[in-house]
Amino acid sequence: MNGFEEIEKKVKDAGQKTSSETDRRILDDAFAALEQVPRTSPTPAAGPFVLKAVAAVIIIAVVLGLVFVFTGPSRPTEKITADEIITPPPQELIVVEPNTEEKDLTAETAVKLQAELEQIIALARAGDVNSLLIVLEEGSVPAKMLAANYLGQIGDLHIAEILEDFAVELTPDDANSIFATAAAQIEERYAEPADEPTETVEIESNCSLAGYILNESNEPLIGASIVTAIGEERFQTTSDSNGWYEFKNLPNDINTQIIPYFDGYGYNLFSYDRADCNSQLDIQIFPQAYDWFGQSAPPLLVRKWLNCQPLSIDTLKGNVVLLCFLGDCTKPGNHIDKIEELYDYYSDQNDFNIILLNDYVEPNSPKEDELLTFAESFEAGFSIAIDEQPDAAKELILPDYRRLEQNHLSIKRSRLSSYGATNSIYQVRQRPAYFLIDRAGVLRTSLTEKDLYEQIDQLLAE
Amino acid sequence: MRKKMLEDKTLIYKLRHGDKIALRRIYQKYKDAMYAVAYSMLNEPAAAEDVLHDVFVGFARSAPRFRLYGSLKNYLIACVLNRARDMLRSKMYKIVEVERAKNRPSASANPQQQAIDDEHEALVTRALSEIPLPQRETIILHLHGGLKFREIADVQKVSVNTVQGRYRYGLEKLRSILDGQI
Repeated sequence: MNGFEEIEKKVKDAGQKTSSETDRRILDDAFAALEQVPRTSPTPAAGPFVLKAVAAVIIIAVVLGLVFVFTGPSRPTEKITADEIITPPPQELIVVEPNTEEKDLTAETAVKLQAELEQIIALARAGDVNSLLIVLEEGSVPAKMLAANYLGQIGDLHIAEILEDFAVELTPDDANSIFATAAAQIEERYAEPADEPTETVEIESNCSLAGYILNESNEPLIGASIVTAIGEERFQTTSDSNGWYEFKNLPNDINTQIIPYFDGYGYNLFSYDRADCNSQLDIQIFPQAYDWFGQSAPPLLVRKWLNCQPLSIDTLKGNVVLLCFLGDCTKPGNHIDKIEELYDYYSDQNDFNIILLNDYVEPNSPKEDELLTFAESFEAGFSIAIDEQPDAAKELILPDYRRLEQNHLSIKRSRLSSYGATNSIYQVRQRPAYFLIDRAGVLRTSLTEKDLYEQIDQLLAE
Repeated sequence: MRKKMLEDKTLIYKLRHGDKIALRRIYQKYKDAMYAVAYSMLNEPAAAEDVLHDVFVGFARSAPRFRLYGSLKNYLIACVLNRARDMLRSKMYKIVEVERAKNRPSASANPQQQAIDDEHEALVTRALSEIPLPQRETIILHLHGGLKFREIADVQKVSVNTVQGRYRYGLEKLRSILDGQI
């Protein structure tokens, strides 16, 4: 993952740990739970596969026992050649008895082996995969083989991997060794369909999303534009006269977002989950700076005033103030002409200020020069300033608010935005964004362009 | 890998017979990864502790009947993930900005660095909560839970390719959200 090391490190470093108090509490409760439960030995599961194999097992056990007797005491674990893996003998040879005429040492070890093998049968009957794995790892060669035989019948893909490892280690030249066969047996059981599609997820292949889009008072928003972004694809709809939006047959993908937009409320981004599909999902959005409505307007954090002395909300008390965020003022078609018109309209009004806050740009950057030139040549009388860098707003950012009740999602976003500090505090989510501050320095509302004159008149009349 | 697995198998075996030392050992081994996953999903220390508590006590309760097929760590983390997902979907669950846990062990003696670290951590956690859930889970499971992609594919029941895609897209998104903030 080239280029991701830095971000990975940041995520890892943001990890959390429990306190020792918490650990103590959890362990105490866990011990208590452990004590309370009655322990029963695992119930034997005599499935048909085990019973079927019993006959073969006994045969193998006997034969292996015999092999062992004839070849002497246990030798160090070494590669087993194909010759040493005995094929099952004729049915007649079922009696399980070591040859007692051999040396005592050999007979004793033969008996031990037999006991070991019988124990393995018991483990297999009980379905005890874990213990069989221990045998596979630590048992004698015949025990390993027997354990492998059973694991092939009751193990899962994880066990298949282990069996393959053993096949490679112990019987590399035999593709049909018991280990390889057992692994293959498991894999056959778990065989997946051939062409697994890569970027799809399970369950429904289609997703419908529908519900009401609501404002801060839970009233439906009519004509809200809603876009869903799924991977690279985009789907758009508009809420109807009841505030109802609907998407049908959305593809399922890993990357899913829904972005309602309404003038004055900006673009509100949230991700939806598979669980949200095919059930009603109402979304509530809030105007920009909603958290500040009716309170003292948050301060203007300005990096540079371009065409006037520094201003602040405090120093402007007594006047009505229109705060505008256009993004990049120098970009053509960025509504600056609307502001010029507005300024002209109210030019006789002494108690009305317009402040235009451009997005943050780096000091001494070409963009800053451009803005300086622009501001100087601009003959408008309203104030233009450059927003402060985003970090400066850290202390003033309110908690990001998303709440999901049953089928109802509320979003109020407040976070550091790369546009700038004041952009962040005022929760600017669309451009242009307008805010009105009254004579007492209280933030009254965020505005849409069409409401500008009406609202300004109202405040001026106060 | 086999050695680690064997230890787990031995621990489970002992646990089935009521061995508290084995239970404690399992807790010590996996609590950090479990808690990290819960916390990253829920962004609240109290909720994350609840998840860790419930999953582990439930595990202890099921000990006598417990059958381990595969990795114990994956099993425990899958339990944590499911519980955290449940909590995320339940009614009235709020995702709010991280509250600095007061009992969080402080790694840095330097107060300024600690303040910076705290802030970075808050930003990362908040950024994580802004990317889609499948991607968030994948990143958390990999970087906090220590799961390999194949293991995550098992837990999430999707293909390994899907997991890799989620991880890649998720990190790219995180990077763009955090760009300029840290």
